[in-house]
Amino acid sequence: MEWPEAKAGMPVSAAMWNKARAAVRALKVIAGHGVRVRPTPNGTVVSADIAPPPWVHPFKVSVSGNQATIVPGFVNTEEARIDGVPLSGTEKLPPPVLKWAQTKWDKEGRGYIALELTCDEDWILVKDKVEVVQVAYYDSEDGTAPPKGAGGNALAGGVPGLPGKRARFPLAMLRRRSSGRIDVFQIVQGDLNHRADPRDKASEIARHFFS
Amino acid sequence: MKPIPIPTISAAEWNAMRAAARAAKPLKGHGVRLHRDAAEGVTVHAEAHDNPRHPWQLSCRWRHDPKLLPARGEWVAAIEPGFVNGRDVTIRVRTDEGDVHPALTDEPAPEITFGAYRDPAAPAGLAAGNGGQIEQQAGEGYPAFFDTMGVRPSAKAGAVGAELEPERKRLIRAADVVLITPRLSTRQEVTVQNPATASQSVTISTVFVTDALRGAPSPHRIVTTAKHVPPREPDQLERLLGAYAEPQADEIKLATVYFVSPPDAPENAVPDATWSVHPRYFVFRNLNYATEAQIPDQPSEPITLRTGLIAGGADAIFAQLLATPNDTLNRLTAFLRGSRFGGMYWTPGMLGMSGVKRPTRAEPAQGSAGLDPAARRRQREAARARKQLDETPPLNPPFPFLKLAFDPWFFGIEADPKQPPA
Repeated sequence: MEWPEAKAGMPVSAAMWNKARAAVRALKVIAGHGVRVRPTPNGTVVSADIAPPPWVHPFKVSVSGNQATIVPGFVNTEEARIDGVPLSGTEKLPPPVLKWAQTKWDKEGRGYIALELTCDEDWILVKDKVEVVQVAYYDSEDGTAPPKGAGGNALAGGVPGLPGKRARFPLAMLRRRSSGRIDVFQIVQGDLNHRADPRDKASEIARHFFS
Repeated sequence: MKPIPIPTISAAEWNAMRAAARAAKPLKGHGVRLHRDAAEGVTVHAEAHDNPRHPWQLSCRWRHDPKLLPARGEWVAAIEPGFVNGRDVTIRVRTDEGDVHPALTDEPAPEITFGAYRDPAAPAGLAAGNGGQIEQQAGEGYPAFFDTMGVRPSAKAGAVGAELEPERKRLIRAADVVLITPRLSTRQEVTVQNPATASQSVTISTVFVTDALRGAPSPHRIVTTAKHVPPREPDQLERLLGAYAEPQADEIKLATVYFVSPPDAPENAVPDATWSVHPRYFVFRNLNYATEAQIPDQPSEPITLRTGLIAGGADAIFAQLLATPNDTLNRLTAFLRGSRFGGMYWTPGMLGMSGVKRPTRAEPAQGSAGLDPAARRRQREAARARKQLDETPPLNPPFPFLKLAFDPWFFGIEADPKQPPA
């Protein structure tokens, strides 16, 4: 409803005034769901503060103490597992929870919830061998160095493999704070595809690519 | 309700009330949905933002610092942690003790400084027109969003100093936020033997350059710059001539941050606390990165000459004559491709949509090659490469799963992110 416009010398008719009154009435701010209104002489303050709903995506990690729950996700259409149990559970078993006795940290207070997968002799992903683990390093066994000959992951890119034709890809990074709090940084937000790029068929060295 | 008789209302008073009523009209803002009812008013619904903060998202603020003159402060930004190959990324932060390189996941969250700006509305340069007069080149421009804010229009090509829409007086500045991945690079050295003392031969060898890798504060870092200029890759002719080295880093622009001044800011003003900030993002997800050292192109086509002479017998002779050049060509092509370490970025697990982000290559401007055959050839190659990039399908990115003979596994970087470069 628009406020009617007047011109100099123009009489205000009853119709114009009623239009004006309706226009002002139409501007009244009414609080809806999740909104607070505070009238002031200069106007009405409208406030809204609604937390976004959680985004439940594949491989979403939630950490509580020394355990984590992971939303089911797939690698090459193969569902990831915890101790052999698919993340979505089975007919007999509920969805598993990843538990560990003591969190593994690197020297800077980083840890990872990571996928650990194994390839066969043809560097094809082995079914039932896509496990979720808690590790301090995803690109080496103990953090001292990447596997011999792998050269680190910064130069050639991708993820360097681990002995036994294994590879890890981090789902989330854990950071230990000085207060003891653990912050979780989600890295993967969807299902993954994996391919390996071996140096040669006889070698156990390969770059692993996730997309 | 009966109409109320009004003796006299001046037009000015009436229109002032009309303007006040118009100013009170609620408008849709961030996280709010409005339902207008002509009879009853406007219902405001708050809507939770369904897109939470994404990696690389910036939180800009003006940091007051009386020691920084003349502005007594600077614009800084905290960056929502993003990851490359699962690793967190560092930025450079100035401290009284010197520069440090904290990771984005550190606590408290480090902030990156905007130290230089460009004016995207300013002319790109000056050039001589056809009549010999000096003309300005068109400005870089900015998103149309800023038109509605009253930002001064971007310069148009033509007469110098032509003012467009003088009522738009807000200035605009911009800075780019760039992710840098240092990498191994190569250059070719061409040695021509002295024919007087040795047989006439040319040796082409590959030299590996590791300066950026050795001095890198971390495998991946973010910087701000006034304007990002993508590193230029040498073409194969330049490699053969040993005229150009590969860049020692791959780069991808994460965002451009625009700063808008209040009206009537001085012409050469730089952003201060009174300016508003508007980031524009180019990357919204975590990234993976790999060099293309192991991605071969299609094998080159051999040189053939089919004439059908002597009932086809001549073709066998020509094939025999061309065997040696073809072999050399293939080895040369493999050599050049095997020494190319340009990288690519892509997004893992992006809701099933795999996005490939190749680093943009710097290319000569259209029509600037003149009559130089080499420059014109490079321009054609750049156009072909650009067309190929444009045709890259958004799904099923080309996985780097094939390999060349060159072995890149003996090099690595394990620099400590906490340590500044030597």
